Amino acid sequence: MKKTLLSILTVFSVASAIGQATCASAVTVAVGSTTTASAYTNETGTAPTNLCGMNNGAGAKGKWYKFTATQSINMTVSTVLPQNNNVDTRLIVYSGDCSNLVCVGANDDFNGGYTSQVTFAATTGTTYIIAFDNRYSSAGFDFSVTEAAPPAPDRLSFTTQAVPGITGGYNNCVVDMNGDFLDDIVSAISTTQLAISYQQPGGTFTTTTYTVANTSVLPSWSIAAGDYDNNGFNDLIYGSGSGVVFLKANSTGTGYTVDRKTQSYLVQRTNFVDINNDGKLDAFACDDNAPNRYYINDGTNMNHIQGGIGDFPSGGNYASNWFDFDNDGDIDMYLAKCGQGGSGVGGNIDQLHRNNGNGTFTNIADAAGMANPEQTWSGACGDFNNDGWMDVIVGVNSGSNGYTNVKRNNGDSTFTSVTAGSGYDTNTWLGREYVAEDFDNDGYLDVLGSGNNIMFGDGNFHFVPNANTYPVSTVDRPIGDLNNDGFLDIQNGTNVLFNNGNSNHWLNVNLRGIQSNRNGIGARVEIYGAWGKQIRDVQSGTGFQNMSKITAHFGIGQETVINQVIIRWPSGIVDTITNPTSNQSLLVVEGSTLGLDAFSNQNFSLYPVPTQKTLMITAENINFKNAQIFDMNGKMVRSLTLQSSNIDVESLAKGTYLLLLTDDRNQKHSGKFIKE
Amino acid sequence: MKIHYLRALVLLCFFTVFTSCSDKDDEYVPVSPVVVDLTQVPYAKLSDYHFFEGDMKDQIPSLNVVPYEPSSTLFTDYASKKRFIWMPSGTKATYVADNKILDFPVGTALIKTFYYTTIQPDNTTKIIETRLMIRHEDGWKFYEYLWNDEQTDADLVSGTDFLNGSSVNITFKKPNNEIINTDYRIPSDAECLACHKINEIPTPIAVKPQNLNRNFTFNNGNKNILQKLVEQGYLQSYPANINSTVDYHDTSQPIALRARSYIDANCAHCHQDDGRCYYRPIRLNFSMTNVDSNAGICLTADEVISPTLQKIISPGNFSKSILHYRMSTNDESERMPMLGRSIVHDEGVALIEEWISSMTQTCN
Repeated sequence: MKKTLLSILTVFSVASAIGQATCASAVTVAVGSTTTASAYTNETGTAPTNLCGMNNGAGAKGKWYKFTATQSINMTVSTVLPQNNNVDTRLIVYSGDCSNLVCVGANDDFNGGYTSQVTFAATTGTTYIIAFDNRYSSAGFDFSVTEAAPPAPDRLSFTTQAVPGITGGYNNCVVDMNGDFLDDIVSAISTTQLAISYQQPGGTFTTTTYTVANTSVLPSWSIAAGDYDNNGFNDLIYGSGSGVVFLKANSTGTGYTVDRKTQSYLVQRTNFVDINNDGKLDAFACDDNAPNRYYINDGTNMNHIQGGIGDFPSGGNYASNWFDFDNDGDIDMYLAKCGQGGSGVGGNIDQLHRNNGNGTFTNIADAAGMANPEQTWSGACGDFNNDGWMDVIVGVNSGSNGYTNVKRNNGDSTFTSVTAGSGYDTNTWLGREYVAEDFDNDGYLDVLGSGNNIMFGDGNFHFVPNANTYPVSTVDRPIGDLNNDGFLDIQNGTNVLFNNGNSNHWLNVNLRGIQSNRNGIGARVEIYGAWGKQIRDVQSGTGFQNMSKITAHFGIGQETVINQVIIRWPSGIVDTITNPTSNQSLLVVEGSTLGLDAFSNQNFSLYPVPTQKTLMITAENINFKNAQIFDMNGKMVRSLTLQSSNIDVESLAKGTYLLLLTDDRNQKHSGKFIKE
Repeated sequence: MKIHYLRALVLLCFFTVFTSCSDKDDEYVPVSPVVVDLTQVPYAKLSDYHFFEGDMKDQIPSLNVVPYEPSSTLFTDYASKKRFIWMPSGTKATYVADNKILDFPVGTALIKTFYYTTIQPDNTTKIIETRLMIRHEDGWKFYEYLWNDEQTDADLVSGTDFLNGSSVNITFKKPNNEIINTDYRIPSDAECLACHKINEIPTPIAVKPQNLNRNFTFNNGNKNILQKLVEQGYLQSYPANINSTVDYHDTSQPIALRARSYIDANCAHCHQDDGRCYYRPIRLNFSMTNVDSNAGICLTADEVISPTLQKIISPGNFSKSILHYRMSTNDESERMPMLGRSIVHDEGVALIEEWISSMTQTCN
């Protein structure tokens, strides 16, 4: 072996003087060998120009080597060798030939050092070209070409694939924009342009670029989507360093009007959420330097309000996560805070805002055990142990006040830290984005958080990372089902990490609110089966800065039978679907499963039942202004201003309809009738 | 309002008479016109304070209004600045430590005017804003004045306008002749505090002996600022030896000293003990950056940017240094400083490049 290596080195050293300067004259090296590359000084080697994703520009000079694989195994090319003393090398491995170099792998700094290493699966008979450049150092170095152990098996794998149409600017939003319940990709290009890559039924994307009035600001800190005018097309809010702007879709989703708000402040997380539960989405914006802001939707305008939901004087408000922690049917808010000012000041203490049911909120973090004094930019909120109560994994962005904190909801408005033994107790990763989803569809929520990995949950507050990290950005990583296969994918810039899935089953639940906001944001979705119960709260704006899909996604492991799906709408209406099939996207229209007389708080009546020509409304002490009629798919078939208590329904097709009435105090009421 | 103004004048007159009596009777004693009545501030107009004489826009300080400039200054989108100190008669500040702000008496006003001299198309001069910090019994308060287009006076920004902040669109020429159009930021009260605080308590930033121990050209000659303040009766005393920052422009000074002075002025208000970003491990205040790890040298960042951007400073290699990366980007969620800058400071970046390139430390 030694002899062979020596002879290879001898052969090589003869060639090196003239050989490795260009791709065409690349020197052949042997598998299992270590090669000395002399300093770049006095050499004229051509630098590689295809850098295979490495940024920071090309080097001035290069060195070229090659080898041909004799078996299909994993190979490692490395300068991570003790004799190199952490020399700053850059390494690229190509296949193909010199006129058509195909990227196999590239690395600049390996594992925190300056040396480089690339491991790849080699194919018998393929020639691999190895290139180095002197971008950072012209010193000589050694490199080795060795067989590598096969990588540890992935628990769940993704295939990274470019999606044509995704374009520059801000790539932080995956959500259904056109109401077909397929997740689309929003690229905020500039202050006057927005591109939406619409997912097509075949899994391809069609991109439309919209020119909009100057938005002044971009979603440099966060983005959220929601249909705040209930017209069937999602609208957007950009959160920037100078306030927010709304982009409202027109009635056909083919254009956007811009509503730039004049308040100029450092925005962090934004959400759409129906804060006052009037059936119209409001918007919330964390203020980094002052009490939080929100915009109350009066049906025409989004009206700025500051104060009442997180009022720490100097802010430190990083992420607002809206869910119902006390199962009382209204939406509460966990506020992730990152603190200024040092010990004792308390700007870093998280808050938990309980909805008082009347549009006001009370911070009960102290009593609830959620006044976590950590440096948090977001937390992952979900029911990690499937006990029917939403838990919180408090993520950290700095280790100065402790690391990730796993908080179990005890079901009595208190939370207990169960970090010990959770897998997070030995985890010192830091990050901004912490989002709870079931990525492997095993029925237990996972966390896409720090460390470029997913922590897979087991349903009992134990989490393990995948054996290999995933190539995701630490910050730009919206989640959605971008090929409609029931497994969640992750966007990473112009690429999508498509989930390769497994044999587990799943259910997606899409909502169509009638009395509640059209997205059903704030609704509680429950599914029942052999696993017991799983819950999701429908949200807009999770994690710190990205907008991920609104659809409630469930994995159910190897089970196939779902006994029941229950939707608890913000309006109080409860829909129940019995025995839906698994592996489907289920659409639930608010009230569609209810009997004619089953609407809660019924304070008016409709007759005759059924009706042929005229629907008559009788009510006491309520003056109805207008009415909207929806079919059982949630499609609006009639919208009218009420002149009397009678509605002419003669022209409607036979069937069951939902009726939404708005009174003169803008309160909404819904009912159901049958047309014969 | 008028009545109070009159009352203040009467008080001043009385005071003048009093001091006149205690002095030689026949000597003319000029009177400072400045009025800072703590029960009345903030006044509606900047002119109400009488900080300036002659045309307001010339910013000629009134009697007892002392101009100054710290040795290294904060970059604010290439705005030029004029700074002044005023204190009530008979009061003075005291020295605390080289790296601590002077202990100012109640009633002190710190005045800072922001302006451009290259407003396009004609390279005109335009004053944008004057920011005041006034020391009350219960601490420092921030007041913001926005100059009118005629440049005759500035109006107080108050109420929701001061809660929300705003911007002024300007087009100006950079030192490298590049034409820049930008929304110049008028800070909100909360944004003033975001930088001007220690342990959440409002505080000035630059007025520390380490930054004032330098010569400055006053209208009657060149003089050490601290000495001037003593002569003015504004400062009790100061020690002979002060661990001082330098003017980062001064190429006769060692590069490390220049760079440390620059990052003190531009970064340390947040990145110091009990500052806004105390939870990051770096400490960028001048008195601490003599220690490599405080300056971020070889320190892995809490938020790594990419595999090649992991360390705050990679010695010898600015393109692998997050400090350099964050100074070189305008992206709101990545740039540093986060507030007060929307344009890259070319000269500051060049300084940091030179500094990092000069380093020879080997990281583990």
